[in-house]
Amino acid sequence: MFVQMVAQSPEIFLLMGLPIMFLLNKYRKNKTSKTFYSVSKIMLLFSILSGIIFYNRSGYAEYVQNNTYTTLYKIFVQIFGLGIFFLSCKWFLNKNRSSLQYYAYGTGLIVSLMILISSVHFLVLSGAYFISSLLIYYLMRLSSEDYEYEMGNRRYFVFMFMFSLMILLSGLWFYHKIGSWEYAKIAAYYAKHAWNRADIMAFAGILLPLLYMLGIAPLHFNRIEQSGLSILPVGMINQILPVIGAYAVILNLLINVFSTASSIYVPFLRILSIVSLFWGAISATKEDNLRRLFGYCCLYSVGFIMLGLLPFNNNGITSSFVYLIAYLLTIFGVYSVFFAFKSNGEYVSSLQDISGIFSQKPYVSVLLTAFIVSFAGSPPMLGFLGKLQSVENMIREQDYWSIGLAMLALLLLLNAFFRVIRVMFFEIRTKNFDRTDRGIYFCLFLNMIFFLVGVLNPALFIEQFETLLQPIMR
Amino acid sequence: MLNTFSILSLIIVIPFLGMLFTLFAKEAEDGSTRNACSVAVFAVIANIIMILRIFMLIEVYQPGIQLVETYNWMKNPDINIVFGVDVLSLMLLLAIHIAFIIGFIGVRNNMEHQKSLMVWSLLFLSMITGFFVSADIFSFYIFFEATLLPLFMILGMFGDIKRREYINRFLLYNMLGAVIFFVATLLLFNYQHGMLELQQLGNMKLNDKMEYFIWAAIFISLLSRIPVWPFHYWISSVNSSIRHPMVFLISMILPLTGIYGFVRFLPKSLPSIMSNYIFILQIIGIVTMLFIALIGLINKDRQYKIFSYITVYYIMYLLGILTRNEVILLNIAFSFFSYLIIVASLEVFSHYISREQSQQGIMDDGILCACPKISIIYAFMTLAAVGLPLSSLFLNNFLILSDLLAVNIKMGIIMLLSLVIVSSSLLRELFRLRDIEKCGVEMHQVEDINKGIFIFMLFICFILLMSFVKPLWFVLGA
Amino acid sequence: MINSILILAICGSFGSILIPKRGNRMIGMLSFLITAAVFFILSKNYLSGTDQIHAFSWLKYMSLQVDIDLSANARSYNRVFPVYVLSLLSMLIANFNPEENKKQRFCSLVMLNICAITGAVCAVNLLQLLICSCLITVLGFCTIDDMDARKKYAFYNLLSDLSLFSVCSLAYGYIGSLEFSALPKFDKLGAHRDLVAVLLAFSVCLKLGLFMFHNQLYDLSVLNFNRLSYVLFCSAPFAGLIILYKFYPLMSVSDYAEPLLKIMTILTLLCGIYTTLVIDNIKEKAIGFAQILTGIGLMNLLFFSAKFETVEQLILFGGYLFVLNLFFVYHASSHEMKVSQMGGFISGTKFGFGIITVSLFALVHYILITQASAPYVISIISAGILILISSHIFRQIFFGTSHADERIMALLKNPTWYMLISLIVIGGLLGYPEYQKYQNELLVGFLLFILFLFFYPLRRLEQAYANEKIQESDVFESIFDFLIITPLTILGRILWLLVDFILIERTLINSISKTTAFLINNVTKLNVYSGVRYFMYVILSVALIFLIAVLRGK
Repeated sequence: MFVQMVAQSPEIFLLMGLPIMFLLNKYRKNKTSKTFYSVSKIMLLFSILSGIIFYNRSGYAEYVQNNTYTTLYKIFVQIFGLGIFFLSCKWFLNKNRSSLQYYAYGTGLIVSLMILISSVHFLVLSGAYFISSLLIYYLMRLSSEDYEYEMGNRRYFVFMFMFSLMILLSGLWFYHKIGSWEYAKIAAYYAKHAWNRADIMAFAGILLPLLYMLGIAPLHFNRIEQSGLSILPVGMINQILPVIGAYAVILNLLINVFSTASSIYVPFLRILSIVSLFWGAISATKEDNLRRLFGYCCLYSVGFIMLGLLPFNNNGITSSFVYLIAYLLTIFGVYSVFFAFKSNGEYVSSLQDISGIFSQKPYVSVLLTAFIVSFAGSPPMLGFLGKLQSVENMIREQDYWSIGLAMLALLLLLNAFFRVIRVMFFEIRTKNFDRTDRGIYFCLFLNMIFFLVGVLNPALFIEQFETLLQPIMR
Repeated sequence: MLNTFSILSLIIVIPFLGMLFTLFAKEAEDGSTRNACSVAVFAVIANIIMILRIFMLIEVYQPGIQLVETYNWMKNPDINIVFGVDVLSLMLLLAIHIAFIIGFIGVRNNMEHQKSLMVWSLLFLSMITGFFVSADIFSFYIFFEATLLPLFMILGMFGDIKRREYINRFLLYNMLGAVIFFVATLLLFNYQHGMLELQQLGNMKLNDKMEYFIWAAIFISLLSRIPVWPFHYWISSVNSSIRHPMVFLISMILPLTGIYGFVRFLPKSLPSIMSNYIFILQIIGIVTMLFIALIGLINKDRQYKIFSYITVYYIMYLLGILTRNEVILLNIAFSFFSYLIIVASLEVFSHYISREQSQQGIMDDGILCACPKISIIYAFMTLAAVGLPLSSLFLNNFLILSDLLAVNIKMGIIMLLSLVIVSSSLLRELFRLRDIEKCGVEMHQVEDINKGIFIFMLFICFILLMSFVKPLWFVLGA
Repeated sequence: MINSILILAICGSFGSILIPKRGNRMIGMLSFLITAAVFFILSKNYLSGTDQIHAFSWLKYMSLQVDIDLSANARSYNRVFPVYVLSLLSMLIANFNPEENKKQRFCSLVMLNICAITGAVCAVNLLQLLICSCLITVLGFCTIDDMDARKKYAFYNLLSDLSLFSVCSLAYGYIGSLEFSALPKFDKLGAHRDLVAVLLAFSVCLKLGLFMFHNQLYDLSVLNFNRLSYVLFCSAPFAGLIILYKFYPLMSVSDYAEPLLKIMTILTLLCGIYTTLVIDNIKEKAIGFAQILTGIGLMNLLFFSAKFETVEQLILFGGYLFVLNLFFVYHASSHEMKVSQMGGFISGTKFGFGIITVSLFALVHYILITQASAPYVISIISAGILILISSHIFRQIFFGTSHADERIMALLKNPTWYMLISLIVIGGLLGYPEYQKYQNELLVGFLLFILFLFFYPLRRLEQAYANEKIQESDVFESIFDFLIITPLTILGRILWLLVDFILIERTLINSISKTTAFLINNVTKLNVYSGVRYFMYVILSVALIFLIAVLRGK
């Protein structure tokens, strides 16, 4: 029992943080968002440390299994979670709002995503999926209470519930047919048996909810809708953490469990990826809400990540992984910049609000430009590395049509990016911006360091991580 | 691993560091940004010294890339970043740096967005330096595309109300070119199953199907930078809309990347598929030359005249490069050296005249009579530009034309006609500016350049003259 | 030779850069003395009869090997000395002529021009000549101190230099050598022979200001007489002569170039005669006379294979002498430009008339001598033309009814000392050689001249002086404007509108913009926040996966 508990210590540490936060909330008088952030930070650091130590140990091997691959993504979730918490702390301090719920739900989300990533059991998968979706819902509820937003939340809840149910039912179908919830047994079964239409329906019932969590078109609707309305810390969480979790699970499932259905899901994902590319690129061009605009950029990036992954060969895995890292660092950087877009205590989110910001905040504007360049996959930014790897892989696979379409979508997306740059740099300033917190600069600086290291020495990402990705390599 | 202090990396890093220093340079109490300007000039001068040092390190007459620095950037795929230089790239680099200093002189009193201008200019300089020292297809592509952002920023900052339109054109042409070039680079890389240095491109063998696409992609992407019809449109739009010497200068240096790309990418023996492309390109080039020269002749805008001159020369160089004659290539490098300096000087002083004209509210006819120092420099540059033996342009054009005329007489004659037209339009402009009879300006009404700048410009004239008297005179022992 | 060039070049450069507030004439005189000293030393070298070789390698590249040759031999001395003489006289006049404001600058330019001409004369390769020709153009451009005159001069000479540039490029491209000695090979190795030869003829015509391209010379009439004469005889037209001589082997590779040049020569001669007889402006008459002598000289060269040196001396000395005479008249009449406004000057300047008569006969004599290679009839006709023209001009000036106002008549002057020196020097140089050979012809000529003065057969032409249309018509400028400039301008405008605006802006760019806008508008319509629509997307995704499954046969 103890050994099992120790092996699951990353999750346990995080869960331990929850009661501590509630106790502090109840008994401590001088509590600020820093208090809850500190608890989350300490617990996350402990969790990361223990995760690294017990990277290949599993407490309940029939439900969750850890290996280098899952540990890598779990650590990603934790590190990015830590970064988000750090920036969110500034937001809550500025707004003077209670952050208990935010940190509690956030920590819970990290735990559920970690379980989701390491799950090898469909019951656990559906449970973790439901909890994480539910926590996202609760996080969203922390935001504004206007009618439009409330309606959006309700829509999210309905679809979240529907997709959670789909996973559960699909899991049940496989259990009914094969007699087991475990991935390995299902994979073994389909290695010998052919897929029938009911199986495919069950497979779709698992794939679609995960794609919904990933935010690929046309299942991106809630993500985009909420990104424009939710508060900044929640928007940031929503744009980063579920993507990591969903990507890790999808990759694991499609390669290790449903590889025999590749003839179905490869063209399916190809279509969805291309739709994402164009949908994201074109919609971003006309969007005036900054967060939604970058939400569409994320949609484009998710499309590119999946397109790079498509042949599901080793090169595809590596290239989409590199793109994913570039995406995560970039979107993290973009949201960090959003934290600096503060005028009279309000965080601005409209494109017009940041007109001429360069004249007052040159460094922030330049940094956002750098992130935009990275999004566009232009050298010498990190995004280029991702684009290079993905396109190189597509060329190897002789998938020239996808390259052509991806490049065309990129050209369309550039319109949106240059619109943002134009507004920031070339238009007349309409607002007076507040002083930017040093912590935000620190985050941006750290991000740029990662960028530089990544660009100058991509071997760090590619070669070092390649060994960690071995469990899903063929 | 890259040697941190390797000289080629250093000449990329120096302007970049200069950019960072400029970015953090404090403004003076009166709001002037002299500090930024000084830092920028210092960075460029430091780089010029480094370039001259490189000239001393290389064997000037030895063909091929020298001082090669290799850096294993990625293992999977196996990509090496290779830097190297030859006389061609170094000559271009030196000319660009001198042109930048001339450009900085032109904007030193213009306080509008000066700091930003210096920052983006230095970033552009760093990227363009990287472009010219890159010796493999990947670094070539990286710097090829990286030059676009600073130019975009500068265009946006100094444009007028129509800037949205021409920025869109700029993006449409250049990003399309960059994206196509990216795919072509990767295709080449994959087809060759590994790293491709620029020197190896000359001996590359492709199969027919691949060849057809790759060469088309490379042609389109490189042409998107060169003012050949219909790609000339973005440059002409920019130049007719933006009245800023530095913007003009940078947007005029950009086509050089396309020309240089052709130098590096065209194989020594042209495959059959390419001869078709080249034939089409020759026709388009010649037609564009004449077309732009004629528009330059009728257009009253001085900046457009300079643009038409630049365009005609660029296309002449392009057509020269397409012959794949080593002699022509070397001469184009020498010619470019003078050409860039002349163009930069003409533009800077042309802008200076326009600014004085608008500030004083006077006509510019005969304006040069009121500012003798500018008059001397402007006249020298114009006469050098039209091809008189005042710079290396004369000798090199002689050799380029002798070969081009021998290769294709019809093409050569139209080229000569275009040269005559653009030269005439430049001369006409000079006469108009020096027409004492129409001069409605008094001697001290127009501010002349100060003594320091005049001496510097005389030094530039001396450099040009020396480039004619003794090409490569600045290389010891050459 | 090399030392002399160096001295002149250095002094000339300094002189043209220095802008002294005082001492303009002093530096001018110093320049004159230096040039005179150089000339003296060169003359001594020439008389000593030793050849000096001064050749050094300038460019030693694989692609281009050029030697600069400034070797001194009897032939080069012979060709350079007339320029020296004219330059010295021009400098002398410039330093004492009150009309000349920039004495020092003019003298410096003259010194530099001597260097450029020496370089051109000594050139043994195409490039050296081409460079020197361009330098002569630039120096001529600087010598001309009027903007309008400069314009045409610069355009014509630029065209000429570019044509020569093309000729040299083509020649080098085919024969692979820059040496003049290799030019005959072009006939065998070269291609596009007609083009090369015609371009060369075009270049020569432009430089020399032959018929159709003479406008540039007539525009020089705004210069002061000294500068005008210097530019007419020692600048671009002289460079044209050298080019013609040096490139002559290329001219013969085509059947068209030489006949073309011959026709132009005759037309130039006729044009010159027309101008001297009909045009009222005394400076234009001087230019017309220069054309006549150029015509006669080229005729000798092209039709009768005369020696280059003889032709050169005829044009330079003969032309200069006649222009000096007109200069004297202009000076005597207190700078009156119109011949029709003169008349009866004999009363005020008899000595001047005497000098003019003597110098004219020196000139007639020299024409007869230099036409030795031509048939006798041609020589006599040439001399006759000269006598006829001189009598026509000088009769009106000295014996015609006076139209000048009283002030001019009262201030009529004899030649100044520097004019006299110039006239004596040139007249002596023309009259001295073989002075006894054509005594009978000169006697007849003299009688004819006297006869023409009293019976003036061309008196009807004087009516043309009053005709403004004739006096101010610029036919060729209108023709060039109509045939070249206007079509080019119209073509430029059409191309600009058609290609740039309609084709690219309206068609290419607009269609891309509209397609993008269409895409954006339609795709953004999908971004509606509605549960039903979301549900539809889910259904669509499920349907898609099933469709694929069905298509894959599952």
